Amino acid sequence: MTAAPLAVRDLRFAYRRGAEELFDGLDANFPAGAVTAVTGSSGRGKSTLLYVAGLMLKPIGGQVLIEGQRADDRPDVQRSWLRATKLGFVFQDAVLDPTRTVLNSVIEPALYGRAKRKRLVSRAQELLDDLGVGQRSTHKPGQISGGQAQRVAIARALLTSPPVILADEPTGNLDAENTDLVLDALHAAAAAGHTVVIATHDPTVLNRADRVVAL
Amino acid sequence: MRLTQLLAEAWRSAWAAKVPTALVAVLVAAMCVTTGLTAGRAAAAQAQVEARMEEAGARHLSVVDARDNGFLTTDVIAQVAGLSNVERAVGFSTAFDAVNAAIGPGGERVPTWTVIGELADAVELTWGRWPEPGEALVSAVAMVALGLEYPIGAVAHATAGRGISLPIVGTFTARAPLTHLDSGVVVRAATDVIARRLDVVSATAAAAPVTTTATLAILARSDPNDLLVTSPATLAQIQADVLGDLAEHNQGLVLLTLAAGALLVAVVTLADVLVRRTEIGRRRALGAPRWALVSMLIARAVIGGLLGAGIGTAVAIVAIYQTGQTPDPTFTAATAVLAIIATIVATSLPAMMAAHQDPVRVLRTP
Ligand SMILES: Nc1ncnc2c1ncn2[C@@H]1O[C@H](COP(=O)(O)OP(=O)(O)OP(=O)(O)O)[C@@H](O)[C@H]1O
Ligand SMILES: [Mg+2]
Repeated sequence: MTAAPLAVRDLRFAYRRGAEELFDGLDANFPAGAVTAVTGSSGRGKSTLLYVAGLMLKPIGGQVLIEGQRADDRPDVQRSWLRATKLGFVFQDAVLDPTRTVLNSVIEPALYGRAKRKRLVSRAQELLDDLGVGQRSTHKPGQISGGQAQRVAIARALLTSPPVILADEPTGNLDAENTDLVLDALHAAAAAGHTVVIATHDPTVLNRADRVVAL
Repeated sequence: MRLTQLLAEAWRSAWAAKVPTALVAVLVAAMCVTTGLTAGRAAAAQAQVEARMEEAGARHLSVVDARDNGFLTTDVIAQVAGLSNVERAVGFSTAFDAVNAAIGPGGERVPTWTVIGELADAVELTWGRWPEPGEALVSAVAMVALGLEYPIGAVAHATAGRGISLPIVGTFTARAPLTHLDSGVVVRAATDVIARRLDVVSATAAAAPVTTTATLAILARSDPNDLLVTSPATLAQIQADVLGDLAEHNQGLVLLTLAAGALLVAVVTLADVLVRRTEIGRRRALGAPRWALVSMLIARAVIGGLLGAGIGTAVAIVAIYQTGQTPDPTFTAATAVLAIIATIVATSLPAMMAAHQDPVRVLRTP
């Protein structure tokens, strides 16, 4: 059996030395082709787990494995490269560049991953079409709704086809209809073979998740 | 991240954030104008002092044969004139008084010098022809004193019975620093006349001390009392000191302006990266390495800086022309380059801070 695209081993984290420790030696695999929901009451570290797995925070103990390789102890350049090529982020707020059009926002990760921009333009448009925001591609983020922005952010996370998609409360600000649209997109990505991890306490998300990791 | 992409991103983001870019441009322009004007003016003053110092006076060495030993021969003078640092060297006999030959001993007296060596090194011919040995040129002042309407006729020793009359063949003005000649008459010496006094003009003020040493070496007097030397060596020293002071002062001004400008650029950049923390966090999350963010932020400031340097240099050049001076192209270019370097240095620290901030904190929705 091949290694899971994302796994954590004996994970422990603290924001500061002496601060409250999180995860208590968590062991978890996040298999490809499945949506894994990370849940737990507020302050248990759901968001933090995503950022540690996303190589933006360093654990104080244990390991983060990307495709079976230890990644948390690599230097900044390599961790950045892994983020650009192996990981896609979706935040609670879409966090789009207000100065870029929707289409250019979706292409932004190509900048950091040395992907060919030309080929990606058509792929970006396809993704936007799939997510139902194809007509908005020339708009600026200020001209689209929160639910649409979140779908644009998902398109951005999927652009370079990274093995792992990490989404932190992607439905936190959305109504039921948009929540369904966003979940459809994330589940479609899982069905296409991506590893999808969603940090959430939204029952709708939990109900549809293939697996649940409770913190 | 590819370099072209990085530059394109820097350009995009400089364009998108017009206010900080414009502020950096204004600051760099101000740096260029300020250094251009203050230091430019000081540099012009320096050039002026330098020019004045290079005027013949500071390069003038005179040697007098104090005991009439007769060592200032035509050969020796020619030898000194041939030194590489020497612009010209002329010998003079002791001055005597002359009167208009037509009037005789009772006429008004004018000082008269016999010139040994190239006459053209001592005076400029303003009318007539260069004299043969034993012929004379008169100055405008001497003409009046001698009661001559035209520079023709002859002068004669004021003391009756001493020597023959000397025909006047033209008029002259003295060349600096031998301006005392303007009060009288110069006579071209016969080849065997020995000078009492030697005037040497160095090519540059800086070379004056060397010229003094070399001249004294040629004269080769073992007894220092044989010679009466008036040397510009001290003047040359003063020149070196004054120019050194000015240069130091200039550098101080330039450094002060650049440091103040750089500090302001750093403050603007810091404020800018604080405002755009989310953007930097987003780029980090999407996979931008720290070095790319730092380079992008610096490149962005340099775009503003180049704009400012262009405008500032143009303004400084116009302003310098308006004060009636010519701007020094090397200095102006150096100022612009220094301002850009100051911008890069000033941006580096805030850029590094921004790249090292915790991306999670800024991306977290409260
Ligand atoms: N930058 C920080 N510095 C110090 N402590 C922090 C920081 N960010 C979060 N924490 C603490 O770490 C713990 C985990 O926070 P985190 O945001 O991961 O929780 P969460 O499970 O995502 O909560 P929520 O459901 O409210 O989003 C909390 O106790 C929080 O106070
Ligand atoms: Mg959270």
